Amino acid sequence: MDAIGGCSQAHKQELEKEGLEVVTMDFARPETMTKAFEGAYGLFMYTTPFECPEEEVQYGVDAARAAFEAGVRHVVFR
Amino acid sequence: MLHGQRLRLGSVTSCSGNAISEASNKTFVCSPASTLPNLTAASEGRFNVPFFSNKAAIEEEIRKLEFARTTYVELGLFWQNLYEWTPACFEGDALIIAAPISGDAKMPFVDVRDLVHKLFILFYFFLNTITGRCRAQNFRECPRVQQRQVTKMQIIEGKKKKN
Repeated sequence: MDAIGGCSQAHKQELEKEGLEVVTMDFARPETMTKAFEGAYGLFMYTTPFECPEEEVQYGVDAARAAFEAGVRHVVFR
Repeated sequence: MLHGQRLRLGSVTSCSGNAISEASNKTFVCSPASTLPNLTAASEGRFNVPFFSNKAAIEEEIRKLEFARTTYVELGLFWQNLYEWTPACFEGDALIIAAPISGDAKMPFVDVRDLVHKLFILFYFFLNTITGRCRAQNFRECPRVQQRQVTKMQIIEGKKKKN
């Protein structure tokens, strides 16, 4: 795993040293989102059409659905 | 109380700060702050504004999920964005804008400078459909809105395109 959401391996190790759990998540693979959201209290989700105009809707819908299925208690979609 | 309802900030005068905190303290809240209308549908396909329409499409799907509580927060636009994103210019102390917004749309606006001081000043005005006659030639010459004292807004009425 080279990068986690734009996060480098070095950064990952740094975060883990702080006691944070870092998990992989890929908008294009909804199953990774459900797994990543498990046990999380909240999700702050932000989509824009600028980076991926064709996929924004699918990504947003999949992320919201994954949060719902994973039992996330509080979602803020901005 | 607010489940499934739209909380429109700026256009609902009885909507106090307490209502917002109450909404955001609920256990299950899905609150798209970027609650935006589907402009593609509103303009019957004439305009495609992905920034709005994509959000609307996502919201539609979120409504199908059975979150225990959902709140849709509609915030007023920063009216400075009118200058940044639409053809606009000044004539005296009036800001003149042209925008593809139809008919009798009512819009809440927030002045970014007032936001800093935690005060919302709202501007309501009616827009006509504008397609051609905006004074875009003056657009680049206009100084930034933030540096100007604006006391009124005007809309240039344009001709509707004939299909």
